[in-house]
Amino acid sequence: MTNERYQIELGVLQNSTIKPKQYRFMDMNTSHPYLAVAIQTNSLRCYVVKIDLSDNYPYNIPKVFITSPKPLLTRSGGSMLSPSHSMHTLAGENGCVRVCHYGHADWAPNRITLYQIIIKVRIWLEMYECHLKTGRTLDEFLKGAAY
Amino acid sequence: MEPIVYLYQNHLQEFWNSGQAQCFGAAFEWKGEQVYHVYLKYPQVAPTGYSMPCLFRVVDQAGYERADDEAAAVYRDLPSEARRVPVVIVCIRVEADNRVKSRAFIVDGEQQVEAAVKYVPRRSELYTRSKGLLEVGALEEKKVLIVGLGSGGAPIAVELAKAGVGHFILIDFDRIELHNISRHICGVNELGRLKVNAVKDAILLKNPYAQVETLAIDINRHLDELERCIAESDLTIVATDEYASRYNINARLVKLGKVGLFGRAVTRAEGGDILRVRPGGPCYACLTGNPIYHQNDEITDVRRARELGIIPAYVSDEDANAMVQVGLSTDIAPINNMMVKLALNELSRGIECGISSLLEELTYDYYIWANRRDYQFANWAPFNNNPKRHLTILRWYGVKLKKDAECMECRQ
Repeated sequence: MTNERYQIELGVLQNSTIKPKQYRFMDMNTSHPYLAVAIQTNSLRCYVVKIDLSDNYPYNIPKVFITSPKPLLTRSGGSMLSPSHSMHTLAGENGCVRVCHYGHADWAPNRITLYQIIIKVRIWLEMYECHLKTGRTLDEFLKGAAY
Repeated sequence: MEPIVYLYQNHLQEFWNSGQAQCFGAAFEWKGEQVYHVYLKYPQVAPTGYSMPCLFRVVDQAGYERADDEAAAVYRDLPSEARRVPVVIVCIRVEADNRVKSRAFIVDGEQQVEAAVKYVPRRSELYTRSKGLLEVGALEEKKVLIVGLGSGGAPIAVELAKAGVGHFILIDFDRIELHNISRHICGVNELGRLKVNAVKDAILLKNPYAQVETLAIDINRHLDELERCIAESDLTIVATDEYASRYNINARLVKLGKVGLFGRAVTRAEGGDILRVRPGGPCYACLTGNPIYHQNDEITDVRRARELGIIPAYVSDEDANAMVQVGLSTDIAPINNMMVKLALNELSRGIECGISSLLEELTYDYYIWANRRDYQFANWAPFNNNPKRHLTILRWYGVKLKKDAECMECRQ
């Protein structure tokens, strides 16, 4: 990520509803930079999300992982590390569930910022908690959601 | 039928300058057609045809006049192994005014036939036929970077070489594979070759004096190299099949203030579009954020689409294979043709030539073409019943694309 882009991302986050203590850009001068974000859901549960910026962000869609709790499990205690259309996940790495956020056809690097990805992950987490309560897939909830 | 022997003028000149009296070369015959291409040194591009021995001999005026006897004598002196197959013997004479004259013979045992000699001219004469329409000399100095050498980039490269562009940088890390053949300029005899090398050869066959640099790299992993290539080139042709590379190129075009042309076919080549990026104008990211832009690129290769995430990991192999629906080469050709026209426009900007009038007409930054009334073009008007002149198929439409004031890529 260029310094110009970094400043833009920082500016968007600073003017957003996400508090500065919730996020931190990590390892920015290395080949594996990432953004760590703490997200609290409506049920007051806290999750830590890692947005991987190493693969040529913003021109490639960044990988997003839930690093805490690790690993996330389904209502029945099953693994979520495999790609699943109905659960909106991709192949997990290092025991962390990988969230499917923006698809290839929707990705627009000049319009989408990390803030929008965080909002999408927040929605994913809310739907995940609905899944834990009801056993229904995330897709069933997301299809009805105006997001 | 009289045989024909083609000689390369620059080879003859180099041979004459070397001061040798005789030397071996290589000839390649188009079997059954009595056409022979004769080389004194191995050509840049692998020659076509069946190989046979060849011998060049410098003769004086008298020797030139009785060259048939000279050829017979030369043939007799050849080792017996060399005489198992027909041999091409070329007698060369250089006149006082430095003009090279040659007589060539095809000798096969007792049989000796004189061939008509034709010359492949030197660099300065190769493109004289284009003169008047295009300033060939000017294009000879131009450098074009072409990223992506599939069914789009490869024919564009060859067309630009035919128009006299003298310098190319070709980038693609892929090889010619079976599924490419039906739409690519390269044939089955080139299966497995790196596309950069195969297309380089195709360029050199049209313009043997073109300077071609090849890079078999993934530009998304070699961004500094990409930037160097864009900085060195007068024009960048973007014919890649995925977004990350286009965005990477776009970012560097904007940064360096360079001109680029982005061309692609959409799903099943039902149509296509071209974006011209010029300094101060809308960039590729301005376009992809615009509702006019159709995101669905043509998917031609499952493995690659999987790697890129175009086909998500949770899609089954069966469904993924169903997503690969390629169009016909003939549906891609109009897009390539327009790309070439726009490229020549950009390269000859500021030069008075036969295509200057196009500059006044091709002023749009974005162009759309539909091959069929399918999918995104389903609601376009029929070609044969369109009294109100609505959008229809098989026509180019220019779009006045506005620069996106909020674009994070090109806003000031």
